Amino acid sequence: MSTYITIWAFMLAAAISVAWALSWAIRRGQLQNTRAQAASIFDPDERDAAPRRGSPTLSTRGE
Amino acid sequence: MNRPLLILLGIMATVLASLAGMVFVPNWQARELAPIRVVDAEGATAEYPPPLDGLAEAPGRQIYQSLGCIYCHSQQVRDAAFGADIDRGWGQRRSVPRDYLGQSPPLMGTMRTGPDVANIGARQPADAWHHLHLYDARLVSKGSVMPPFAFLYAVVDQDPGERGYKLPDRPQWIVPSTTARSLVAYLKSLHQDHDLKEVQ
Amino acid sequence: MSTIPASRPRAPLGLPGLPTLVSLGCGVSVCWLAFGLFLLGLDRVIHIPAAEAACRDALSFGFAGNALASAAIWFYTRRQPNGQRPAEWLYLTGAFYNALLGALLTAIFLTAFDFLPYNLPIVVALPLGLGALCAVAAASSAARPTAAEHEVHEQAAPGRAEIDASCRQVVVAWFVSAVVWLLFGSLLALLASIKLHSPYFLANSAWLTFGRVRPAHLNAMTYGWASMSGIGTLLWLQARLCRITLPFREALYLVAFYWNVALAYGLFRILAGDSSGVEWLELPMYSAMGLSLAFVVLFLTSAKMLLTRRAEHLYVSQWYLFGAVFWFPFLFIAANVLIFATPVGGSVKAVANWWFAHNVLGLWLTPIGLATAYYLIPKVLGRPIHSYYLSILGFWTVGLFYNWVGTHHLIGGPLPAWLISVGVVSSLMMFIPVVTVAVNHHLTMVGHFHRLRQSPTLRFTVFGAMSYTLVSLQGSLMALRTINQTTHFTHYTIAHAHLGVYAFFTMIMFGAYYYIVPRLTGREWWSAPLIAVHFWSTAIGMSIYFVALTYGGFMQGKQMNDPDVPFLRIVAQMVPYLQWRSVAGSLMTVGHVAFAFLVLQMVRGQGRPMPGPTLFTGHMPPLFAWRRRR
Repeated sequence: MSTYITIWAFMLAAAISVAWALSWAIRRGQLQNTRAQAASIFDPDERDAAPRRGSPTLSTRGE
Repeated sequence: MNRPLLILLGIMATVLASLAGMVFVPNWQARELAPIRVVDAEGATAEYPPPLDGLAEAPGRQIYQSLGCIYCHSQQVRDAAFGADIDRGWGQRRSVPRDYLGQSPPLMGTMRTGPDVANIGARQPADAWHHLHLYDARLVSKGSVMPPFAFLYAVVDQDPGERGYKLPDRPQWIVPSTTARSLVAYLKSLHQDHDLKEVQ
Repeated sequence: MSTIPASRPRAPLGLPGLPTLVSLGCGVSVCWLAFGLFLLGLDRVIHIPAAEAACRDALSFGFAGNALASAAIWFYTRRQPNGQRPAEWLYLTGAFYNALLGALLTAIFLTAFDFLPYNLPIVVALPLGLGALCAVAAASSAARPTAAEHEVHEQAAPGRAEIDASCRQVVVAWFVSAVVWLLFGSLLALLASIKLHSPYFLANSAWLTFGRVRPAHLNAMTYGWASMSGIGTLLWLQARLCRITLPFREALYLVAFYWNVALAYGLFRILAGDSSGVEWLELPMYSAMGLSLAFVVLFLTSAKMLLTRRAEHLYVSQWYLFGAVFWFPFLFIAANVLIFATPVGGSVKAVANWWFAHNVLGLWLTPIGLATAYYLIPKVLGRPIHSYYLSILGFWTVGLFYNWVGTHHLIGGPLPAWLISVGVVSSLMMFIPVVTVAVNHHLTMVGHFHRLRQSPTLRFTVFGAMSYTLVSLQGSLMALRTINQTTHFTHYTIAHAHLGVYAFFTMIMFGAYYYIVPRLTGREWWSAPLIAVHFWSTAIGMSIYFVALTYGGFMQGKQMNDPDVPFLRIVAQMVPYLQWRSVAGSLMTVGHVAFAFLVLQMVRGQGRPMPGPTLFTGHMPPLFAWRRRR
């Protein structure tokens, strides 16, 4: 019986920390501005670019 | 998101949770499982599941692992309501955790290119069948795709007496190596035929 | 080529240069060879098992280890643009490694008196020692940035070309090794496949029996091809996303060698009959522990990259990659210890087995594959992923549910019912991450599908991403008891496994090669039609494979559940499907050979100097050209 209580206690603790982490992330703005996060893989010279042909290997421009 | 530590904590938590849930809890649950004493038809008591005999059966089990038998043969009988394992005569009852006590690792398998062998010792009690089948499975099971294990045998033209087995189609005999004998000893030890109280 | 701070200008210990280090390594290696041969003689004269074991270790780890490490250092340092001076920690590493090996052999002689089990010292000491050394090396590098590194930090973040150049040697080492394993694994796969319908094929040797070739195939592909190509991609991608040059390059280069040696030795032991008989964990423990502890270096590299990154955000790919690099070694070590190093046996070990085995795909290959797709698809299209929210949701749900699905491999087996139910429920919960990823990738692609005609990278990657959706939905359904009753124990499962590791992961890795290798070598691919051959032979081969074994396996399962059908009739009816598998496998191997040739040409510097990426335009392969001509 005590084992089940332990298991449930651990699950409850896990759920509470998950909820806390989520609220922390929202409060600190970690989930804001996702557009910028998604676009963060592009360099300024290639942001929102149309399909390009330049190869970075010789011209240092990336797809 | 710009906090690697939070991600690290998260990924640690998920995997630790599953380690606890999928490995530690079942281990804790299985701790009470122990071999039982059974009385056979002649009144002698024995332990079930019986420990493997160290001379032939235990080395035979290693050979079973080494030759990769597990990739085509399972060792688990499913319940009569789930699949046709019992109807096919692969066992008289479903397998339960107690059948695998002490097996490290358990060789349950996940593939049945060949039939289940959880009870092969009970289904095929004769040495000769096992040796011919291992030497070349087509000799006893027509159409089988099992690889021949002829490299475990010597073929002789003279009757070697008790040591050998006659090939059915030609006047030659096969003489099993120690490896083949151990493997057959292990196969013959495979049976899950005791009624256990957990099998309803 | 750019001027990255590859060399280390400081030499505080005043150590001699490269030739001394390499000759030192070779000298020590020859000493181990002599000692090993002496032990061999000793073993022949007076037979003691300890001498045999010590001889094996002296020859493999002492002789081969030192020789290979010296060769690796020589190759690596010689090619550095400026400076011939190896880092001082290499000296310390070498000294420590050999001291440890000496201690190990002493321990082995002590175990001759049944003092310790043989495996214990080698399993624990050697990899731990290597890990500790790399940790020391990493810490020393991290703690004391060189003057050049300081300078760099004041400047702007390195550009793409600079990052690619810093990855060049390390990533090429991992990539080329992976391709060699791919070819070797394909050969083993063909052998195994043919043996299943023609049992007399090469049947006279225990080394080549089906039950050994099959696990050798699986391990060569999983730990050789998939893991090594995945690690190469992981390092490059993480460096790119962190916008820093790759740290710890010497260590990563050495670890690639170490990985190859450990894996080759493990596969050799499997073929020799030392397989552990546990699916996905067949590698003997000394090999497996070696592989998993190479992750000490990989984890430290990832951690350092994340902590010293010049990019503001952590892109979702970085989450996946960081997850993979923690999850996998954790799982691998835990599973090996739980299954092989604990005395208690029983059916719960099967649970540990499948907890691990499914997570090889779920928490190792899947995160790397998805991270790559999340980077390559937007990059090639030039537009960001559709929804960043969905990608985050997908990450956490994968982490949360994929861990728990393993027991669906044991449905109907001798286990507590709750354990199976957990596996089934989490398998169904996997619908969430799969659908989020599928929707996200699809909506990113919408309106740009025509680019599949042009870009090899995109074509392979999108094929892989679509297969991910398919394989995951199929996997969730296969966990339902009613379906599992039929498909369990049949070739249906084998088809499913290949759909995951091949059609999803391997295809994405092919796409990654086509994107990354030109950026490392500064050349473009040698031949676009050959890339088309590679794509179509692998795509068609995989499709034949999947259709044949899925249908055949389903019939096999149906008949197996009908007790009136004799078992041997089922075996006979499977033969044509198994023959189709050999055909499919041959086709895939053709593609692999074409791919290996292309990679070889790139590494030899035979790629084409071109202003843009290799595209399937202009000279279109005929299979694809008909639509464009109309």
